[in-house]
Amino acid sequence: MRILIVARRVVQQLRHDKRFLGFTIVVPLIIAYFLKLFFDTLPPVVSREAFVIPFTSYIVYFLTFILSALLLVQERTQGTLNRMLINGLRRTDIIVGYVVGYLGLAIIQAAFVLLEVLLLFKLDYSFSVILAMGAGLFVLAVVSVLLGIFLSTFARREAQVIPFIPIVVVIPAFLSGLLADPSLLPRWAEWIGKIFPIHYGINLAKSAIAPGLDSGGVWPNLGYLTIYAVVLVIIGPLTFRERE
Amino acid sequence: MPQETALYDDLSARENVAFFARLHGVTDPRTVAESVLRDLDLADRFTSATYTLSGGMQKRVSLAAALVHDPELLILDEPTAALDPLLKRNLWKRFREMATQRKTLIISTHLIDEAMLCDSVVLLQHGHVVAHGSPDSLISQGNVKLTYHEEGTERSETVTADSAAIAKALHAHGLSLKVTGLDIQAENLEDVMVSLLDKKEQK
Repeated sequence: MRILIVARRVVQQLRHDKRFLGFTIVVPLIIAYFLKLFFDTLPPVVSREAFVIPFTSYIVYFLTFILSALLLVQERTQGTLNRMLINGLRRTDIIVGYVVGYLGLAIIQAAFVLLEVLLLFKLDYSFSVILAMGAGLFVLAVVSVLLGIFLSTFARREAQVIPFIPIVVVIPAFLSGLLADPSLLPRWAEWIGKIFPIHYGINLAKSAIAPGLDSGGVWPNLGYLTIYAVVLVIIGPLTFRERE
Repeated sequence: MPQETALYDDLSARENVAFFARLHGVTDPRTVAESVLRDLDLADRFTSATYTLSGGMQKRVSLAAALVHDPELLILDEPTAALDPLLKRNLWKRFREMATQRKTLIISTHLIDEAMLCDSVVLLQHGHVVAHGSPDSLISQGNVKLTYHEEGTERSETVTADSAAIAKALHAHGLSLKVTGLDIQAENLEDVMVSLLDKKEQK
């Protein structure tokens, strides 16, 4: 119940901040279009699918992460986080409330990008493939919100979120399977890539579009992402400086 | 109520207050939020985004968020900081009303004139209680300066501010026929507090 009260407030906040909403919905669509322009410059032998579909996961991952981290740091600087705790909320209520409140936006965002990518690149998938991709994006979005909340506890001001971006956003672009095949990387680099949840999001997307839908690849990755989410829900409250 | 406003900038005044109402399980949070805001003279600001409000208005919205579930105990951290004098007076009027309704208010302040309005004052230094009592009882721990005017000259003495000591002094010196006038000047709460803190420091 309290979770839903927090979620409702998060939704209200998102609705009021039109610039923020525009940013989260429109920017991914623009980026996806630029991706199309980029692929048009490449020779046709390069597989579009193998890059474009994981890219959708990547976009949801990094935008959701940054925005949720910023929202939570804002709560901290405004003193509202403390105030919620004073008013009897538990830290877990707040974290899960954020996830629930943010999910609607994450789903809309993911659906739009996916739709645009499918149209732009004239990709045609069966319903079960799209369902697998959708489920993957959904869980990935949950994990990204949680990761943003978790890392926001290490930032006192909005500006302190910025140093996390190269680590959480740029490194996995190279090591987690977006640009390169991780199995061809040196072993240690492959392991670094596996730290990031997007690694499993990308694996899942690749399994989903594999010929005949590789469900043997979809389920384990969905499982890893779920474990990631559960771990973050458990350790998230522990890293809050604010006490209940 | 915290010292900083601690509200959601993008939300309207009503949404902010209703949010805290919901956390306490208030039934019909919107209506209750509106009535509390109306009480605090914010009737025309229900739907204004909080960041568009002036500092004093934000402070009142913040107070509304603290009042919305009708708490028995209210802890206010410098509630009138940065408020204009009129608003400050209105808020204190409201605090007094709440005290009359048998609510407990704990207010931290560094303003002595505000402390004077309370039923009980606790003076803290480095986390220790230096003095505790009603403003009047604290003032009676201070001194009174008695100045006797006598045919062109004047004479003064300082006694402790309890009535027995004053009566004794008046009996000894004030009843002379030469005395044509008398000034009684009591230390105010601020003087008393400063000297209490001084004494504590010297120990």
